[in-house]
Amino acid sequence: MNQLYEIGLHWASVAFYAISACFFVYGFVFKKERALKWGVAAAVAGLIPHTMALALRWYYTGHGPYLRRYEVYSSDVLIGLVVFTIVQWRKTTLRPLGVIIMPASFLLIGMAVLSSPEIRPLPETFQTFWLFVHIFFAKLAYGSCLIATALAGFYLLVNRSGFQSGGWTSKLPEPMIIDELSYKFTGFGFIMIGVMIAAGAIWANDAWGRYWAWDPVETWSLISWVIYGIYLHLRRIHGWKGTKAAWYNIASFALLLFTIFGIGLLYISNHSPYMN
Amino acid sequence: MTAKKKVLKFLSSPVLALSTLVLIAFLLVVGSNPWIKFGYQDTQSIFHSWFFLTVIIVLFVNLLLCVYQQVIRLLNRKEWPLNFLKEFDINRQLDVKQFLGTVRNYAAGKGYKSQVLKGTEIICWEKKRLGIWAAVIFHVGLIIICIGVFTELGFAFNGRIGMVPGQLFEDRLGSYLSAEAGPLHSHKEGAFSLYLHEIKMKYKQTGVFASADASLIESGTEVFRQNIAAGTPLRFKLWNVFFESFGYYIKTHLTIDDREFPLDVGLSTTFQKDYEKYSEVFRLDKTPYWLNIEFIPDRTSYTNHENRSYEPIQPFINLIVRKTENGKNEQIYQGQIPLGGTAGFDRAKLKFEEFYPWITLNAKMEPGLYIIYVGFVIGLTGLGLLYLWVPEYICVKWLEKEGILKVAIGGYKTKYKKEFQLYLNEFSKELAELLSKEDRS
Repeated sequence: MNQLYEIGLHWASVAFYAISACFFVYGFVFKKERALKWGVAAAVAGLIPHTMALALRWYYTGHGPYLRRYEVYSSDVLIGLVVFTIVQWRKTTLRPLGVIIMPASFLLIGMAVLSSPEIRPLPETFQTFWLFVHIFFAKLAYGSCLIATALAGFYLLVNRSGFQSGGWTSKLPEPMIIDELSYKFTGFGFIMIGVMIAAGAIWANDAWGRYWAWDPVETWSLISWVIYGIYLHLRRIHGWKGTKAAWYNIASFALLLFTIFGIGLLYISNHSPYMN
Repeated sequence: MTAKKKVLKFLSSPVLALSTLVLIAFLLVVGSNPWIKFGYQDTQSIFHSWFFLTVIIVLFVNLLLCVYQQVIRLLNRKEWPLNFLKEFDINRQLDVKQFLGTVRNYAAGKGYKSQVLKGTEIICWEKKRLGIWAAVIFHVGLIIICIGVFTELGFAFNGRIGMVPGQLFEDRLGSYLSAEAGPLHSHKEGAFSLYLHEIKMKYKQTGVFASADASLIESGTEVFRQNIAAGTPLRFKLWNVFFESFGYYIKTHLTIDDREFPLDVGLSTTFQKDYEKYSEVFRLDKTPYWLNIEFIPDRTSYTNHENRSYEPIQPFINLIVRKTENGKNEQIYQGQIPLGGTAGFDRAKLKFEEFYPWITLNAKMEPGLYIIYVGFVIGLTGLGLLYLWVPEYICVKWLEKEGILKVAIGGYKTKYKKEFQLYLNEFSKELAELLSKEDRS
């Protein structure tokens, strides 16, 4: 019965995110600033039942939301949206990023609630501080890279020939600023991925006696780190900026998404039982 | 340019760094791919190949040379590469002293400590100077990680230990179930001994959480006693002893025709989708019988694997016997034998007499591990500085051009230059306004 409340709250947040996504798309297409504000309001309203749902689940299961698709996707969306809410609150000109972030979040939480909500006990090897650090930084990495990619997408949109500013679009920061912000968030995400890998290695060493075993998820996390490292290298040393950098950033995020959500489905990995 | 210089230039070039990173990413993608096979080897063998190691060494050399160049460049830098971006007039009589005083007060109000450059009329302040070393610190971290990895490859030791309760294990190469050592590792035998008092078990829905209650013995005396479990390895000096796996031995008595002999079977533990399985398939020596034995700790909940209890309440074994003779392979028996029970098949009888647990531990000596951790911490510190501690340098200069007093504002920031330019524009407006206010007063 208790789990029904939690599932109900999850569905409520899905509804709010769907409304928010609609507002953002409407505001974006018809250049209505007011619709963007309603979009943010709906997203914040959705965060309330979403947080309550995850808190309830944490209470029932006795562990954080990091086992299986239901918990992993849902908590990823929550952290991603908290990061977005803070960013758009501190820099209101970046509010239109919601047109990319809200539909993506809606789809992801939709996938979460449609997967099995069955509660699984946490294996003993998971009851360690390092696991919390590992997962927390993984979610922060996802959140900051999502924002960086949304910024890169916006850069391409604003910078394309024939783009006519009007309505809220005239309040957008200059393309160069959007580009630099995307770089900043990518740099932050790169650090978060690094901490996630290091914390995961320490945990794996304590739990299984090896800090690195070339498990597909481990390897692909390293690939994501190297790919983002190449991005930073290209920017700092080879002067990549603007359109080229934006496309590279979007491609890197696609790879990160594959690492977080795809590897567990396609490869046999130590992480598979906890991510599927 | 001499050949030596050419080689050095190539080895320290950013293009080489970029190419190496791309190659590493490519090798990682190929190596993690389970669908490609190289003959009998899977793709993971790439990571243990000389080719992969060579690529890492090239990256290491490139990093070393790049860091060397970066350090030389930073040490030789006498001044910041200052660009004066904005100039504006001051329409009042103002002497240098008054000007410098006003700017100093302005900077102090913002929390910056300013100073006048010797012999000039330029007043400057800086923020987050440590940030200029960020890239060097990050690359030094990567170099230390590489050193840690090389130390691991050269000196590490990893030995598997199999034990049953009441057994004493002594560190000798021959005592390990298997052992791997780096080419530079010299194993001084007798570094430690382990005595296993008992295997403690917690029964969970998903399996058994086992731990080894063991004592570390050095020179014949117990140094300390600890429960070795997943997540709580035993650590001493450079050694770490990790819990690896747990399973059961079963003791049976076999009779074939008139011959009787004891048969002890060590069962492997495998993790199925939802449960833990203890089983083994083997051929009885010099007989046509193939035995498939699975140990079930609790018969009462056997029908539903997901809900079974692992506590040995009503233990039994599932036995399947196949006979291979004259080109035929047929199943001749399938049944359950409770503890103490006997099953007969063909000309044989098998009695299930006893069961007891075993564990395997991993004894590891990893001198490079701590170096890798230190490298990570340093590298991440460098990254943190690189993105969150960006150095800024701002200067305000007193100018006099054709009898008109002017102020020039300049600055330097390693990154986010566009943002910084906008900031300097805002700042110059603010300062011009401030000086005008002084004028009115």
